[in-house]
Amino acid sequence: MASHIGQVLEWFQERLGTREQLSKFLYRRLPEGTTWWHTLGSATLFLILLQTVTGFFLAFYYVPSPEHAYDSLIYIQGEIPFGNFIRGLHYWGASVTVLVVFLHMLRVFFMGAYKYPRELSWMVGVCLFLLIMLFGFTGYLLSWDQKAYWATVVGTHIAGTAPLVGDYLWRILQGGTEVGARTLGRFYAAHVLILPAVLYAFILVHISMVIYQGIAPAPRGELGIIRKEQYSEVYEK
Amino acid sequence: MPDGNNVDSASLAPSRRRFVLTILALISGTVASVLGVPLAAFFALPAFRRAERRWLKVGRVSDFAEGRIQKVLAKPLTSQVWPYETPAVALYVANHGRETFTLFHIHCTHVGCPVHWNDQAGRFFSPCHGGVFDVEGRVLAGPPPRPLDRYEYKIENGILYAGRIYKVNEDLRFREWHHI
Repeated sequence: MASHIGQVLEWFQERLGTREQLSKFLYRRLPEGTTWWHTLGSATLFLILLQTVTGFFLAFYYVPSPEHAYDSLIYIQGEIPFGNFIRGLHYWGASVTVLVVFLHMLRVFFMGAYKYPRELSWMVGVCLFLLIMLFGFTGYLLSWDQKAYWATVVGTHIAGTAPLVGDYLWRILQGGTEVGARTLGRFYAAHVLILPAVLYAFILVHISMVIYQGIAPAPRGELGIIRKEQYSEVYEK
Repeated sequence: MPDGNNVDSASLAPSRRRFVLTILALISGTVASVLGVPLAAFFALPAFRRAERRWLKVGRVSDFAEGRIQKVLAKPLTSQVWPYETPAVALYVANHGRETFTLFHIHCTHVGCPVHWNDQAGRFFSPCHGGVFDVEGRVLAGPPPRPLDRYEYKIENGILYAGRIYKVNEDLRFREWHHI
């Protein structure tokens, strides 16, 4: 049995260089002073995967039309086995994601991990944060109850106060002059198709950078203040 | 590029390369616009359709007691384009007598929460951020930047119809249409 598995692994190894790829990804050297706070990024990734998987399954039953959206959720929660659980995970997971993303951001900020040479990771991270807020905004409407409806009215009104482009933005967001069927349609498309594609592209970049640059050293001792010129020398130690 | 070592390839390659690049740029530009323009229009233009729902049927004039403010669910009159926006539109009707009305848009002028008319207080209250409006829609308190928006209206055969929404200035006179 073991030799069979070994053979399969060897087959992949010859074609993909699996071992090197994986060890580069999994067995990275960590700087001194890596703490539990450094796991918040992984926690975020896990939560995003959880949102993705629960979202996949919710999409089997959810119907994005004004006539059926709310009822389909009632159906999911009331009739489908574990419907409550799956939707609950997605619903609460959304809030927890925002929370953990924020803590992750605070960690990076207070440990100065955004400094040279990781500025780009920070910028991509900010984009990821905004994307997650957009997920929250678009997902909130999908339950199509009073709270969802009026929260979206408020959201699009705020967008409408932008100078110059406000009125256009307001109409484009809503798909017309009010929050209606077209709003639900576009929010749904954004939430389940467009945003995920963009999010994962950014995640790929974000994580590649972490792997390439390694984890930022804790800002203490010799690594308390690092100048750009001595960075690689000190870090490699 | 020309380095003089190999005259043939040095003079040939860059221009051929440039030619291929130009062709590639043209092809990708064409593909992008053939795809991009319809996609952008497909996405954005339905949001700018005008007069999709020009008149709302509010109700019989005789149904509105003089001097009072009532909440009404108005029904869109003309055939709507799919997808039907909303089955009914909520608005407030104030009857001033002699077939003069004020039809208030239900959205607070701050960020659009639905205002609620309180008869005892004689004021409109917004549930969100503390906006308060008087019986004519003037701002009394809170963050709203302008008085309540209004509908144009007409009366035909004793039936009251609501039209486009407009903004009013501090003197409660027409300022501009609500939608671009």
